[in-house]
This record gives sequence, C-alpha cells and structure tokens, in this order.
Amino acid sequence: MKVTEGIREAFDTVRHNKLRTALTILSLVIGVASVIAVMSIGTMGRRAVMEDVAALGGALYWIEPERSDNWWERGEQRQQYLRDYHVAGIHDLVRDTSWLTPLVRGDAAVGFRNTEEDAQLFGVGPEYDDIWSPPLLAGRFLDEDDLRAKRHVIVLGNRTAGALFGDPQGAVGATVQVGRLHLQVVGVLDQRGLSSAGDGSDDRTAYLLYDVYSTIHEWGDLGPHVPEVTMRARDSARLAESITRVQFFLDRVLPGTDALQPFSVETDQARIETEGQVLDIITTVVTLVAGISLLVGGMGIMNIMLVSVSERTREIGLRKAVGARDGDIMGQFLIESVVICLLGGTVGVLLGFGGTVAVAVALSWSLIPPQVVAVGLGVSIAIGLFFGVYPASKAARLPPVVALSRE
Amino acid sequence: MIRLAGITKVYPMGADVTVTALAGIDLSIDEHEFVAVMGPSGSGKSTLMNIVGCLDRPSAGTYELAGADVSRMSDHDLARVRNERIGFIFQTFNLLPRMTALRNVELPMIYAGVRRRDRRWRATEALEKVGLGDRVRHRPTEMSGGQRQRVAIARALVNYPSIVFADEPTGNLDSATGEEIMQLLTELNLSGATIILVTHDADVAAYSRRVIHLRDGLITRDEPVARRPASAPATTAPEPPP
Repeated sequence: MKVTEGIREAFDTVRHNKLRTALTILSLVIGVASVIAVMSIGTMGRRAVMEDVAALGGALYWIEPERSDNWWERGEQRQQYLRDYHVAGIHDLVRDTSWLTPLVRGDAAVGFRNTEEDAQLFGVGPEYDDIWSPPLLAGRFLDEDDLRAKRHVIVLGNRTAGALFGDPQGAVGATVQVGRLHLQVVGVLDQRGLSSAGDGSDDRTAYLLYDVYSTIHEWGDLGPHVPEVTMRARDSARLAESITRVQFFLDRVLPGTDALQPFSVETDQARIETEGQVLDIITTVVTLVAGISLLVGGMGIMNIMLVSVSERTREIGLRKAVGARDGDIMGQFLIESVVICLLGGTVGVLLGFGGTVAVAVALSWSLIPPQVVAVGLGVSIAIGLFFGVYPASKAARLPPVVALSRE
Repeated sequence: MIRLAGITKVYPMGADVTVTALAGIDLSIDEHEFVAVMGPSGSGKSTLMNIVGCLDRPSAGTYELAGADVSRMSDHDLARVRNERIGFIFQTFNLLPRMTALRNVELPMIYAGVRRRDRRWRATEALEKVGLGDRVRHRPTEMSGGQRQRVAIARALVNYPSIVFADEPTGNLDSATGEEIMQLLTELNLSGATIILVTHDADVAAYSRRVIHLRDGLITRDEPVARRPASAPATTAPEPPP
C-alpha cells in the first residue's frame, strides 16, 4: 500500500475519533511545547551571555591574592602587595600578547572655579582604553604620551562634567582641581547609564594616570602599591600563554609561603563558563522533565493504538482477506500513530515557538533560527514510530481467520 | 483448478487435547463451476472454506490452486493469491463503516497497487454492475442490508478474481433480497467466475450446480444439481446411511 493511501486513511480515522485523539495528544503537545521552549530559550540565553562576553573581547584576566579554602590557613597568611615596579615587570613580560592596566580607586571632589562635585577617581594606565573601551563623548582618552611626560591630565565622567560645566562637552580644555593637583581635562565620556563596563565605573568616574593619582592617594601604612592589575589578551587564542607567563612571574617574584599569601591569575573565562554551565544544567533538567511528558505522551499513543487495533480486528481480517500483506497492515498503523503524534507535535511546536518568541521579545534577545521546529517535529515522528511499532506489529501478526471471526 | 488431497486440520486445545476439524478431504473443483458446500455447524465447512480461500493453511495434505501448491506458501504469497484470484462475500458483509461504497470497493485494488484513477472507474463500474451506480458516495450505515451485500459483491469482483467465496451471503437478508443476491451470484458465475458457496439453506444451495455435503470433517456426498432453481423449491434427498 502506498504511503499516501495510509496517510489518507489515518486522517480518516482521526476525523472519526476527534475527542479521543485530542485527549491522547495532550501530553505530547505539552511535552513538545516545553522541549521547544526550553531548548530555544536556553540557546538564546546562552547566546545572549556569549554576546556580552564577545562585546568585552572575552580574554580578560587579572591578578588576585589566592584565597585558601582553609580558614585557619587564611588567618595565618599575610596578604602581599604588588608595587609599581612589579607591575612594570609583568607588563614587560606580556606586552606582546596583552594590554595591561594598573588600577587604584578613590573618592575625591573635583573642583572648577567655585563648584565642586564628588567623583570616583580611577588611577589607570593608557591601555585601560584598550581593555574596557570607555565610550568618549568629546576629546580623547589618556595616552602613551601623557604617561611618558607624566602629564597632569584627566578624563571626566559625563555626570561630573555636566555638573561642573553645564554642557559636558564644554569641559574639554578646562583645568580642574583634585586635591592639590591641577589637571587639564582632555576628554569627556559619553553617558553610560546602567551598562557599566564591569569594573564598577559609571558616569561619575574620572580617569587620571596611576602615576599621577598615586601622589595624592591616601595609601596609609602600606605605602604606594597597585591594588588591582587588569589585563586582556590581544588574541584570546594566546590567553592561556599570557596567564602562564604572569603566573610564572608571580611565583618567582612574590611566591606564597607559610606566612605569605600567594597570588593567582584569575580569568573571566572561568566565570563565563560557569554561567554557561549553570544555564546548560537548567536547560538539561527542564528538558528532561519535558522529556518525561513526551514519554508519557508516547505511552498514551501506544495505549490508544492498542485500543484501535483491538477495535478494528475485523477490519484487519477483512483487509487481509482482500490481499493486504502483513507489511501493509503494519504500515497503516505505523502511519496512523505517526500522524497522531505529528498532530500533537505541530500544536506543541506552535505553542512552544510562540512562547519562545514572546520571551525573546520581552528580553529583546535575538531570535534563534527555527531549527528547533524541525527538532520538535522530528521528535514527534520518532515517538510515533517508537510507540507505534508494538501495536502495529500486533495488528500485522493477526492471522486473517482469527481476525475475521472475532466479534 | 482446485485440487485438494488428504487435507486435514487439527486444532490443539490445551495440553494434549486436539480437535479434528477436517479429517482428510479430497476434492477438485474446476473452472466456472458453481459449488455449494453444505453441512451442519461443526461439520468443518468453515474450516474447509478458510483453507480453500487461502486464509488458513492445512495441518497436512496438499492444496493446488491453478497449478501452484498453496499449502506451502508464505503469508506474503498467500496474501497475493487472495488479492489476485479470490473474492470474498461474507454473511455480515464486512464493509468498513467509515468509508464510502466506492472506497470500500477500491480496497482490494489499493493492495494490488492499481493507480488511483483506474481504481476510481473500475470501482464505479463494479458498483454499476451490481445496481448501485447512484450510491457510490453513500456509507454502509446509510444503506439497507441488500445494498450492503451488493457493495460487498462489487468489492469481491472488482479485481477480476477467478474464484468467489460466498459464506452464507443471504444469512442476514430477507428472502426477497436474498433471492436478488443469489441472482447476482448466478450472473457472476455465467460471466465466468468460479463460485463456492457455503450455506446450510437448501433453497440457497439450489442455485448451484453441485452440492458437497460435509459432516464431521469428511465429505459425505458430492452430487450435481440437475434443474435450474427459482421456480421449484429445492428438495433435499434423504441422507444415505453412513
């Protein structure tokens, strides 16, 4: 028997058992819809995370005191501090593969004529620009020439410049006062709103050279040091190599001892991977749960097909009497089972994809290409075949005499 | 064209009890014959018809149909033999209730792989032949018993079978309708088909040309029917002592 005939008869049967079919495919609809929704929302979420990472270049790493897991060990060890000459050494070691910036933060008032505005000061190197790319509104960021000449220059955050000068762009070229320093404004940043770069900077942050800022920062007992060192590999393929070099330097120059805490190099990659893994786990768990409802749906299909076979025993006998082979009967019932599953799958795909589109619109994620639709339909066909085989072969194996004589 | 030699059929009924339905049948039926098989219930006539109709295989013995030994054939090949050579007419019609008359008649051709267009006109033609040309779109539930049996006859003859089996074809019909159906079968026989009729009704058997009596799985009598039916009621001769 041709497949088209089988499909025609399957739809005939479905039409005559509308309610029964609808109830049977219900759990399949739910299963397919949730698998589609979870899979595509998971994929979109993961992609959203990856896009965020890609926007940052993905190859961020930094130096941190290595925290011991044992709290009593931690208590015995003293923290070590990086001095500017350590940082210069590290910078020389990784200059060819990475950008590097020292960072020291502090709060101070920025004054212009008679007005003052509280600002967050970042003492950085010129490569800060390469690492975080703060968006410029006017002027320029700190550069190598500034560093060489130890120029007293500053880049103001948008809000600070606006508060002091009215129009933020008007700040460029003016001279402001921070503590006892007089600094020329060379650039003003654009508004950043909530989307901070990830280092805690915002519209109140003003940037000046580490070497300049360290002269007015209140260092306390420790004396001048570099609290934070942030690096970014120029090419993420060379990230691991760069990390190895930095770690090598730290282990040689500032090794950990019983009394001293060692340093370690941390990377964004680990955090990103953890985030991705958490997302993956959630996706897997929910997909499994949805898979269970697919399983339940499949068993419902098998049940209804068994009922159908026993209801139509005489029909099977008649078909065999007029020349149907075992394979024809098998095919007919398999097609019927697949058609029922595909009906459920189609409804499920529509619901699941609709949900996905809703989530994508709500979170303004880019929508993934609709291959999941093919997955959903493929899964439905597979369920139809898998759970249809037993009833169909049961039907096919019925001897015609037995089938014809059954009431 | 039908040659049965030493056909037996034994059904196992549990541990070591068996029931013998056919105890050794030798029978030949030639082309264009119109044969009635009679016998009380339990005589084995249904079992015999199932075997001759290629729905079942004998326990022992050989069955040659048109020169081929069908008693050794696989299920697959038997299905093809039924499809190409045999038409069935049942007491309960056995139509598929969801399908139109046309589609019911098309069924054997679907399994024969006939193209859809050809199926259409052949099924229509067959329905016209049994006088249902105006009922092709009706479903069995919208038809009388006689009309249903006509659809079944159309289905039986649509693949141009050489043998038509009719198992109590008038059992569920009133006598007037039954007569019409028997007329149809007679016409079918005159147009060349071999007809094998199973019945316990002597009036129905009188339409045939040869009556085979079965009892306890054996043929007790096999005799020609002399006169044409319809005018005089058939009288059954007293059974000879076994």
